[in-house]
Amino acid sequence: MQDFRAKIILVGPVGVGKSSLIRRFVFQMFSDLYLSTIGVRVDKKTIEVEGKQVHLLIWDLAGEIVNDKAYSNYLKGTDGIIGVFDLNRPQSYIDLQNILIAIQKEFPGLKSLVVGNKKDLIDESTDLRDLYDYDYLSSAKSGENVELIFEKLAEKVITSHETV
Amino acid sequence: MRQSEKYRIVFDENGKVYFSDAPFLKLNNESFIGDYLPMFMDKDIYSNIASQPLHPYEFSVNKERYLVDFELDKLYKNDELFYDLSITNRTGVYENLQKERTAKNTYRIEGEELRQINRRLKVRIYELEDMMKYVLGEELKTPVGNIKNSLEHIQTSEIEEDRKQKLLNLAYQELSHIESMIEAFSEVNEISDSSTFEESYYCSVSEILECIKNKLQTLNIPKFSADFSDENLFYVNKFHFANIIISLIDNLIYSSTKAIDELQLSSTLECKDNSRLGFSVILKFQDDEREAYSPRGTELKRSVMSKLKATKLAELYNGEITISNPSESVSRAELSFANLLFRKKK
Repeated sequence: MQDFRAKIILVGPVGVGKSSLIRRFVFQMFSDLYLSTIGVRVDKKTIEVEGKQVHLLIWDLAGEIVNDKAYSNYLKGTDGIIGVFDLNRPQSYIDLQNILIAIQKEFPGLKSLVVGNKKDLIDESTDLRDLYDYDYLSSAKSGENVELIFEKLAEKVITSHETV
Repeated sequence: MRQSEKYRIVFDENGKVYFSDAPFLKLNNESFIGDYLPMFMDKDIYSNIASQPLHPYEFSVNKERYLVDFELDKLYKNDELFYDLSITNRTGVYENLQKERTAKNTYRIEGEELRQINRRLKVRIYELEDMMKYVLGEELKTPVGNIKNSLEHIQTSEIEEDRKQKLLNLAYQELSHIESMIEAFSEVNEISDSSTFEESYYCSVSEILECIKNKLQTLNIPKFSADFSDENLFYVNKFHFANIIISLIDNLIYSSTKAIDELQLSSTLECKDNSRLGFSVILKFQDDEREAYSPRGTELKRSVMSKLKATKLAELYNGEITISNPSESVSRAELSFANLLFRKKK
C-alpha cells in the first residue's frame, strides 16, 4: 500500500475548539474543560484514504503564535490547513478569515478547509449558510464530522501531490 | 518531575538517532523524530525555530505530557552533519503559564459573548417596543370608539336611566382597558430604556426574587413559599426576569375569579446538554370568589396583556412559557430558558 505523509495545521482564534477537534480525532476523547494551548502541539494519526496509508502529523498552534513574526516558519512544509471558527461567536469567523487571508498571501495554493465548530450548541433551525461561508460543520463534543474533516483534507492533499 | 530537566538527542540529517537520554525517546524509536519533532518536516526551519526557542513544544508519550524548549546545534564528524538537540523540560513552568492563559482567554471569550448578548437584547427590545406601539395603536381604536359612541349617545338622545348606566359602565370598562394598556406600554418603555442594558450582569435567582418582592407585598397573599437553587449566577438583566415573573403572576390572578390562597415560586437548573434554567409559578386559590379589582372584561384583557408582555420579554432570552390549570383551584406557569450564560458562585 502506498504511504503518504501530510503535515496539517489547525488555525483559528482562541477558544474555537482546535485542540478539542484534534483530541477527538486522535484519541476519541472530548473534555468540556478548556485548556488554552501554549506553543506547538504535534500529534500523529494514520488513516486510510483512497486505498493509501496517510500518516497525518497534526500541528496545533497556540493562538498567539499567529501574531508572531516567525509564524510562517511553523507553516513551512505544511500540506494542508484546517481553519476553525466557533459557530456561536461570529467574531471568531471574522478573525479566522483574516488569518486565512494572511496565510494564503504567503503560501498561495495551500489546501484548506473552513470548519464551523461547536455545532452541538446551535439551534438546528438556524440557517448557518446565511451567516457563514464554510466547508463543514463539526462538533468535537459529539464527534460529528470530525473524522470526515481530516479525511477530506487528506484527500485534497493526496490529489494535489498526485497532480504535481 | 523537577521544574527543569535537560536532555540531549543527537541525530543525523535523516533523523536517525545516535544518542538520547530523553525519557520519551528510545534509540530504536526512530519514528519519534519526524513524527513529533516538528523541525524535521522541513530542515530549513531547524535553524529558524529551534536555535531560537520562541514557544514550547508539547508532546505526549504514554499519557505523560512534556512541554519542552529546544535548542539546536550543528555537529560535524568526518564531514558528516549531525544535529545536537538540547531539550529543556519545563513542563511544570509551562503548565502554570497555561493555567494563566486559559483564565485570560476564558475571560476574553466570555467578554465577547456578553457583548453579543447585549447587542441581541437591544435589537429584540426595539422589536418589542415597535410591536407594543403597534398593538397599542390598534387596540386603542376600539375602546376609544366605544367611549366616544357611548358618550355621544348619552348626550344626544333621550334614554332611560338603566340604559344610560350601562353605557357609562361600558365607557368606564373601556377606560380601564386603556389604562392597563398604557401601564403595560410604560413598562416596556422602561425596559427599553438604555440604562437597563447596563444592568445586565451576573445575578443570582435570589436577586431576581428580591426584585419582585415589592409586587408580592401589594398582593396580600396569605401564604408564600420560594424554593430555588442559588448556587449559580446567570448573565441576565434581573429587571427583565422579575418583570416576566410579575407579569405571569398578574396573568394567573386576573384570569381567575377566586381569591388567592398561596403562591409558590421555585427554580431549577439542568446542566446536562444545554444548560436550562426553569422557573415555576404556582398559584393556589380558595373556594371563595374574590372581590373584583375591576370589571371582569377589563380583568381578562389585563390578563391577556400580561401574558403577552411576559412572552415577549421571555423571548428576549429564548425563553418558553407554558400556562396550565391542573385543577380548578390551581394555576401554574412554567418558564424555561435554554443556553443561558451562567457560572458557579464563588
